[in-house]
Amino acid sequence: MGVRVGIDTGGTFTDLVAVDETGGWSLAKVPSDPDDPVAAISEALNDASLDPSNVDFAVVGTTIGINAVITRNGAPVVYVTTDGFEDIPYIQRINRRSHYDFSWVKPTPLVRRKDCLGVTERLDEEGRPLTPLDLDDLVGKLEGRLGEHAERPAVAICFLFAYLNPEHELAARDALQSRFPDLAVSLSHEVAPIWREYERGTTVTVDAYLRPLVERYVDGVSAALTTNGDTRPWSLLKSNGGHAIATTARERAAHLLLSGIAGGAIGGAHFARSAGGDQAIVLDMGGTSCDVCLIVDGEPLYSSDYEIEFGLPVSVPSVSTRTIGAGGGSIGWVDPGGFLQVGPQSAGAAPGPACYGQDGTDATITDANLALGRLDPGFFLGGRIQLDAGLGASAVAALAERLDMESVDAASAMIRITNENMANAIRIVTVEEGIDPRELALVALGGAGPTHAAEIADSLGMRRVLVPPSPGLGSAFGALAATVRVDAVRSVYLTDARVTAAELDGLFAELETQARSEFESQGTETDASVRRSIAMRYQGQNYEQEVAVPSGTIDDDALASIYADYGGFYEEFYGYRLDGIPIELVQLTVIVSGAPTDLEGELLAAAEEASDVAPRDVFFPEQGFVDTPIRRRAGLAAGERVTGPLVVESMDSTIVVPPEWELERLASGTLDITRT
Amino acid sequence: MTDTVTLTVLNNALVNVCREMGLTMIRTAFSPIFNEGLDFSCVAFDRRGYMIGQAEFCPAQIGASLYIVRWTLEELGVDSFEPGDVVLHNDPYRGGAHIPEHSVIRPVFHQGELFGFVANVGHLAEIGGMAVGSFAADATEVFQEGLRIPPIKIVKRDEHDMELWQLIMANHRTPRNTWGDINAQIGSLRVAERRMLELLDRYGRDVVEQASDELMAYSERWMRAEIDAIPDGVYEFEERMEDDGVEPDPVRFHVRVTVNGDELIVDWSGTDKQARGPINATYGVTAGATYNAVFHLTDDGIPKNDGAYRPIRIIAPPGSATNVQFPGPSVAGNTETHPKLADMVISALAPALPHRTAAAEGGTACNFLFGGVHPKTGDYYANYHLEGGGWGGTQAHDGNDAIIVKNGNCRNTPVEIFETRYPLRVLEYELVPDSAGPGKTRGGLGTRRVMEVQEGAEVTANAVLDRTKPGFGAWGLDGGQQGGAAAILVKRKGEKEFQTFTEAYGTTSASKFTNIRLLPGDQVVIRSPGGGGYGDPTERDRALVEDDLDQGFVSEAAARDAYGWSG
Repeated sequence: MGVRVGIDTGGTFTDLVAVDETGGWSLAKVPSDPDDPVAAISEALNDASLDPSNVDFAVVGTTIGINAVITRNGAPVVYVTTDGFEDIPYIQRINRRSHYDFSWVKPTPLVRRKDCLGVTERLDEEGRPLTPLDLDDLVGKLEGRLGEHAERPAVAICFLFAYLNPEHELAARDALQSRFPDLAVSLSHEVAPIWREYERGTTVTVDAYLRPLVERYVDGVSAALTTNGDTRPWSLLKSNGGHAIATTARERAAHLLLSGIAGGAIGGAHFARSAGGDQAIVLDMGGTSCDVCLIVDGEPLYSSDYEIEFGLPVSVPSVSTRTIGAGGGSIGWVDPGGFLQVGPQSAGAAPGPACYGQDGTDATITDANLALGRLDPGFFLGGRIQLDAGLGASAVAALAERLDMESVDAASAMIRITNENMANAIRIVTVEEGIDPRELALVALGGAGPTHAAEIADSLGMRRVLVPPSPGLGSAFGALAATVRVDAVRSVYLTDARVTAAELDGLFAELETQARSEFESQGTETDASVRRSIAMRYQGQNYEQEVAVPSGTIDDDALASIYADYGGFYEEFYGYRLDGIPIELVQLTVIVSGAPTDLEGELLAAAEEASDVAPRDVFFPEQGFVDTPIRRRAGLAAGERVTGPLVVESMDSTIVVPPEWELERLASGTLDITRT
Repeated sequence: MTDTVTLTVLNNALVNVCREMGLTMIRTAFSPIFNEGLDFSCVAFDRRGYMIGQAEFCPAQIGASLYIVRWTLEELGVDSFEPGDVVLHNDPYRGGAHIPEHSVIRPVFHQGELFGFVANVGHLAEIGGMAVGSFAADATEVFQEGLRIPPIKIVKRDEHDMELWQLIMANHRTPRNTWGDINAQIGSLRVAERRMLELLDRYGRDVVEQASDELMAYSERWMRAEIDAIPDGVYEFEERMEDDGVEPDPVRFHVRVTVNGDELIVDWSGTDKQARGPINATYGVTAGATYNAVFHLTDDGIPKNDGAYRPIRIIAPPGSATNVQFPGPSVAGNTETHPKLADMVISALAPALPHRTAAAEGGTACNFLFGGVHPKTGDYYANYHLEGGGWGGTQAHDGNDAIIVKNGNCRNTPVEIFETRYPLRVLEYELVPDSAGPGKTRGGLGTRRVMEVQEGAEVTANAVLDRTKPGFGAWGLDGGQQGGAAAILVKRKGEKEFQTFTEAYGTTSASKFTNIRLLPGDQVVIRSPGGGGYGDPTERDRALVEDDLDQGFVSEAAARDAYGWSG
């Protein structure tokens, strides 16, 4: 009997969720090995008692890409561009990370300056060749550079205006591969067909930089899913939250950069949808950081402006998340002005919070939660980590002394400041989209998310918190819930005065053919759904708004109504109209995706103890310490309603329900917590 | 007393109000100088005119915004504001930084009572005057620099005064951008007002007012503690600009910084009298540059509200180049003079704070402004182009390459956007080897960009640069040497060599000029300056010298001459 498996290989843990044909679930959470990311996958399969030969299909999300970039541990890259523009990876965008900071150093490019080669060729702003590509110049220069590298470099090619006309990039690759048959070559117009040469250039460089690493990883995972020469089919989760079979996903390494983060957003969106909360915020709070993602109409928002660090962008379609340094390990400290601050520094996994008893002395959020009675020292992560309440309390007391406060006030203040930091991040994420957070549900993921979610919601005026089953496995669940998704994107430079409906219709038809053929090559059996959009802006603006293009032929009436939608959107968001100003069309997108994976029913009802627990004193800011009932999550019956104050404990998370909030356990296993 | 946790929370919330104002602005503005260049600031004031919050967008306005709002309130009277009013003004003599900077100010009424103001100060790319792009490098009076608007209500009780709008737009070359940009500013104020009202509803007006008073006191205490840690004494520095655009002679600036316990007195007496050309600083620019320098030298965590400014006293003699009086010109003071004034304060204090200082940065935005009728569309366009230069070395590391001057935080315009919008082709955009000032830690490198006017186009060009003459480069510190010079040169179609604009067109200044007609095939090169070095270059780590050689940042000749390399 076959199972479908979702795996998330994170920096600290590798998580696995699997479902068999009868709807039976198995789960695993094992430590990751940064030096051998594949080993933990085999271990997780073992832990869940799964034989690889039983796997029908697996989807794997991974942080190997982002980790390699952050630690600068990828392959050597030779960057090839238009002659005269070799220094663009070094010049960058000339702005600073912040004002008043002499200590900031510009991001180190992923390519050495002497490996940046300019070759004779040039296209103009409409993609017409001004200077033909000089192949002898190209091959000669590359030969010179390759000779100086001990390890064979990967090549990234980014010619000016290649997003309008790929012929020079394609000819360059053909020439290089016929001269150097085993050379890996990434082309900017394939990896990121967008304008802005620096952003397209860094993206194609990241692609080349990660390629050898991704190929080794794919080979390793394939081996782990092979028994007796039979390799089970499997896919990689991409930054865009969709998955693609490993053999094709490996060809676009840059698109795997946010594979690890996408899972949480997809998982969160799934739970939000299934609980009828189509407009939501996913808050995935772990040990060191918190990812915030906005869900609109049941789907995460996407963007292409991710930055590895300030000034180092990777422009591929990605689930749009904002990461802030707030997690269970975030450290409380006193700034030179005498104010309490929390994070972004974290005690991480080693030494960890003071209460872990691994020689940490800084007071962390986990220590504060423990001091306030919110965590049970004997049942943290289901008892997998024993907490030392005494060590936690003394760390908090030491911080309190520096602030001239009572310990409990210091602990409560740490929680409040962290919650407010997360609330501010959510405010920014929503204001960027012109959305009022009060209308949204808050989906709490990660070990620490459910502990903080209700109070964060309170601070934003949000009235609903959803805690899915096993929130600590949200990313692995997201990998399982993901569907095949292909984004076909094309940069254009059109205006409403210059483009006809028929031309647009033709351009979209081409894109759709391309996206469908890539979709069909995945061999998936689900029906494809197609969404189309145009990014537009008023002439002169530099930021675009995506406007949906309804299905069907684009005729004059359809086009007029698309423009009208844009005007209406603008007035609604910003309060004024700009009628009469030309509209620029800058990007056409066709997204082909499979139907959402149906995973309804009694989800993830893993074997857990349902026994009753004695009440204990838990601190709430308004009431002080309150004698609070404690429940095991597995002991909550479907449909049961309990009013706060209440603490619900499970193997991977502790859920705090403050007074004036009420919890209902839904049939799906999700906890629906609402403000009364 | 408000508890410190509520204070922290409210401080972040007040900054967030301003940040949301800025994000709205980025998404809706028309000029690249707003939406790519981020040349605007967002601030919140209480009803007494004290700044209670600001968001980091552009440092140039940090001084100016303080005075623009306070002086406007003094001039109009707080009682003259009604809910839904918006005051517009760009008068450089009323607290502004220079005439392109347009401020909009909106009162925030909470339950019928005035709480305070939100304001947005931003650089409009084109406001008329004698030169396209309103950067008149050889102006001698404000009237040549663009349309001057004293504080007026462009919106009354949420009704736009369309007659005022018509008057303004009739005097700007690209009125569509004016309409889009000022509307974006006004729209951002509405967002900020809404957010501020939510904050007042949630915490109560009394709590917010008391907390903002305490936050200002807190910033002031912290800033005083930082100043107190600087050894008492008198620190001086002098610097010259190569010319003012009108007269050929250098203009001298002098600063005398007195550290007296927990107070700083920054005295600009000894500076030349105001120049005939537009490099003059308004009081807002001089104050902004002074604060900018002090913020570089003190803890970045100090909340930037009114309190942080209180321990700093500024003396800028009226009628000097640091406090220009009507009708003297000032448009270039904001981009060319501000960074040098800031670097002068920083370098003056270098002996007292060596670990916190840096050698001088490039210090010119390399303003290149051009416009005309686009041959493809027939539309009139105007563009404000700028470049990043090298920054100065610090004790800890080399200066960054190619970074915008410290009065702003603009991004460059990508070549692909530039060529799509304007009828010029970029032929090269590269770092300039050997442009970094040698030092134990060296300066950052400047850049070189070559542009050519396309077929069918005719371009009117203006420029304001500085540091093009020998000896006027970004200075080094502690034995570090000067960075490489800036340049703007031209090669007319058919000519073989680049020459200065003075040689080609007879302009008075080779670095500051207006209304030059460029024709198809003409090429312009802009070279930005390198940053100053820090410490004796012969003490530079040999491995770093060799890496610079290997990467081509430094030539072999320079490695031998400046760094004493003998490999």
